[in-house]
Amino acid sequence: MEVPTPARFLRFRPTFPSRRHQPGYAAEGGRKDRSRIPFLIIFLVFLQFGLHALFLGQLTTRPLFWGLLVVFYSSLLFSLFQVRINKSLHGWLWGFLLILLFEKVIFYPSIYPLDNTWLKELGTGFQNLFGLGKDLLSPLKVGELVSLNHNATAALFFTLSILLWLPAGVSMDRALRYNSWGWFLIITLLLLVWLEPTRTFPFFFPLELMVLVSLFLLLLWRARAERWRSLRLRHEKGDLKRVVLWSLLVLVPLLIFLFPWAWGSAVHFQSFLPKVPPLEASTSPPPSIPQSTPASGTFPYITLPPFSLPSWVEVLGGYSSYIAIILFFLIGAFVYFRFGKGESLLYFLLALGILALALWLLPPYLGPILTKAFYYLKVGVDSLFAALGLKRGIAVPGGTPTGPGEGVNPETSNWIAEFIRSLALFFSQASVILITIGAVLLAVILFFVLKFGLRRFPKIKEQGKRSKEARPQTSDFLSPLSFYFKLLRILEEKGIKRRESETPWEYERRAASYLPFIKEEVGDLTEAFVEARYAQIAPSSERVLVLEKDLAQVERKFQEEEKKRVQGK
Amino acid sequence: MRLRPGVLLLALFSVVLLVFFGGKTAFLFLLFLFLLSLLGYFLTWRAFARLKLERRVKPTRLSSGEVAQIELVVENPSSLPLVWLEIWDNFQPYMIPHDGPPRFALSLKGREKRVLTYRALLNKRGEYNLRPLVVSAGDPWCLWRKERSFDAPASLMVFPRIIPIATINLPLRKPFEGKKSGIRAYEDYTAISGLREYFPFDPLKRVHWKVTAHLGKLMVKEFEFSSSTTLAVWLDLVSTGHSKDFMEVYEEYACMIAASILYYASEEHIPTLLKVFPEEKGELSLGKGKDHFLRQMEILARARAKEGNLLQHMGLAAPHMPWQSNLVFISSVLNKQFLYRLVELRLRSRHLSLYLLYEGSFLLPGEKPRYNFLLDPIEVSELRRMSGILEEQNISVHLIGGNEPLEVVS
Repeated sequence: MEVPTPARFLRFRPTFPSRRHQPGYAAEGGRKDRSRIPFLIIFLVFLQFGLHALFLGQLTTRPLFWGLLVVFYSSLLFSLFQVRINKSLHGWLWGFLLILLFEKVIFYPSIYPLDNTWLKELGTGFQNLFGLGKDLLSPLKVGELVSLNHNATAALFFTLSILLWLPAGVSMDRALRYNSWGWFLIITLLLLVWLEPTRTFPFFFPLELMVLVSLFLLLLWRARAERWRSLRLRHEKGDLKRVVLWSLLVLVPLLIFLFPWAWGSAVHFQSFLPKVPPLEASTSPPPSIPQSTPASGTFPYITLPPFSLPSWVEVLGGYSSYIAIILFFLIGAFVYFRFGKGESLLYFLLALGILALALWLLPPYLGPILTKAFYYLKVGVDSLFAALGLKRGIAVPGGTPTGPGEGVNPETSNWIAEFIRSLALFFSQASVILITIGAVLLAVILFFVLKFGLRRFPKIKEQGKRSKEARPQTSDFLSPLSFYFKLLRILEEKGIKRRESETPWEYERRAASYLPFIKEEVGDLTEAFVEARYAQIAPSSERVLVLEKDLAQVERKFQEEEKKRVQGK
Repeated sequence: MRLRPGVLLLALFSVVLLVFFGGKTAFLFLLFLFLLSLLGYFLTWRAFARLKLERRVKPTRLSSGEVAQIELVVENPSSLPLVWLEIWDNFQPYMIPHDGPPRFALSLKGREKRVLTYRALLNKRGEYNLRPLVVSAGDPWCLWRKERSFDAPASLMVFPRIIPIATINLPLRKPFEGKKSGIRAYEDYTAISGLREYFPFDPLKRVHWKVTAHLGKLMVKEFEFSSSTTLAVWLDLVSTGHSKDFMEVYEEYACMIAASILYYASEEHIPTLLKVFPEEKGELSLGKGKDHFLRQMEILARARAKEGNLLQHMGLAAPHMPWQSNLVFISSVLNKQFLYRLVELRLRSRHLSLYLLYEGSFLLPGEKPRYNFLLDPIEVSELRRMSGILEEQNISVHLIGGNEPLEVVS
């Protein structure tokens, strides 16, 4: 039978945020939150510098990349060490903006030629994107789409991810506690950093992958532990370990499965066959493509007359371009060309094989095998590629277009690039001490940038003021009131809330009847409250001390009860 | 089964990136997410497939202020592990978790069985049917989460608190004495009125053997006559005219007094009858013994305040009261109509003890009184003045204030 009483009475309600996030925690002897942030930053930067110096051989020249790495790792570790990052979020934001500004306004324009600036690329990219819908099948358009430089892509990609990361960062603790999709943002960033376009050295990849996977698992463990702790779910440590272990057991095969996919940055097809004349053209040949000489510094389009055959074709990333490849191939193979009897099926199957490679449906190391298979089968691979009619190029380190034809090497284009390159070489060959000094300097700069960003935000100050005001006053007259309110809060947490209709004495009696072990303390505090509130009698300072002790006693007794519970268990 | 909205958002994000910019990263991420979700779905889907949950409570009947132990048996009969499991037992109001909140998180191996033990402190009488357990499980990365209610039925009966009447100085120690009755219905074996010579057919158990030996002839004991030794306890739980908060406190304390008196009577082997106003179901007839007492306690545990007309209920119940029994009436009503009806009622009973909890509560043993300036209500003062007159009518009135212990009635 349901008890016909107010349901709120004595029902346990978890209170969030936790004690750690309540105002005055640090003042009452709780852990101070920000003390280890600079050390963490130094540590992380050093870690990253060291890893790069050791395995990459040179420093990456992109400030955005560095900024992202630092923010990513520090956020990760802050959450691991339960450092409060909520308030420093705006600092992060300012830091990002500054880094972005530096990269886009000062760094890139000084390295790249003017006709290849980020903004221009972005504009072209969007122009192409909007034109994509109405003329998807035009090779020219797709070619233009391909020319969307990966500087722009990466910049937009990261900006968008940051925009998503920020709300997650705001509620990092909450995200972890509620086990929400903050997780997936972490995975996103993990993959983003892992597969950052500048990462071209394959031997670097496994180590960092291991570091990231272990961090991920550590984070998983922390998040699970935090959730179970904050929701006060009783558990054993072994259970937590099991969860992480099973996560690892499932995650590792998945990563192994994905590993070959992520390893290479391109699939290369090289024809081992002599040029073969194309098959007889149909009555409706594909439209002729106007050949234009691209501006210097940009990647030239593939020469694609319908009936001339390149002997070397390279297919490089880009999912949208893969879709285009499928469409072009199908159109080329089945609309514009006529095959001999029975050949169409073979061509179709071969096309599927190539597309499987192009779409990364098969690991890249199968590429050469398949190509050789084509060779032994004496299939006109070139014809197929001619039908594909595409050459894709994707910018690799630092957004440099590479591949056959003229490319631009930003590291040799001007004196700034030369300087950065020599700096990178210096750092890569310098001793650990020098790297440490550089890392410390960077960390200090970053720290001040963040601190500056933090001060700039007035809302934070307001919040700080509010939290100061919320702390209990120590005045003798007000102390009984604050003690009593604190008592109310404690008892409310324990499930006994004071009703609006209840007088303090009624409440005291009711509370004492359910929690007899704190009866005397509750009685004293109530008495002092009634005197101070209704009789306007300020207690003596000795009495205040007694009351303070009473309050501490209440908390201690609850803790003792908790201890008894644990021991009993 | 529920997918985290964030996963969809991220998938959408990746798709947008793929469509607009292409690139291996987004594609791989999408693939990673897809595979992870697929695995997660499988793990979550099979989580509840064969999960077994059982809940045991001991003891099922306990007194107010005692602790009940609840055992939860969780079994995973499948050979695959259950990565994580969260079990929430939502206690009913007034069930206080004695050793931490009744919520558990665990990870079960294949074919593992675990017993989780927790305790509940029950300070309020009543019948508690434990609510279904809410169990949630999912994959290790929490992409998927599934929640299900497991109905593991268990119930608890909490009897009202019994205040040991024998240890405190109360008129309740002799609550049933009154004037000698003119009707020679029963002999009171506790009071010997005299001795006489043995007549044939006198029962041998009445022979006073010591005196017989002394005088050299058979002598038998004679006892005083009493009208009745039965005890009727009437409990007023009519909430009409009272606030909800008042009734919540009052019904607890009133039941406490009723339970204490019934316990005393049970110990003294006095037949008792309990009547709760305006409760209609589950009434018991006159009886004695432990079983009878337990059934009465169950009634008291279930008794709840309800709307009703007290005077009307009293009128209806009066004819069913055993003739010339001792009546104990526990109420909080202070008006004159009620008193007139009580005087009428007294004619059917031998003695009437009226317990009036005009503030709804009293001080329990060990509680110290609070400093209090409040004057008694006018009705209480009037009743105190009238108590002498009522005493002549064989009605003892015990007015118990909120700041008074039960001893003050003496």
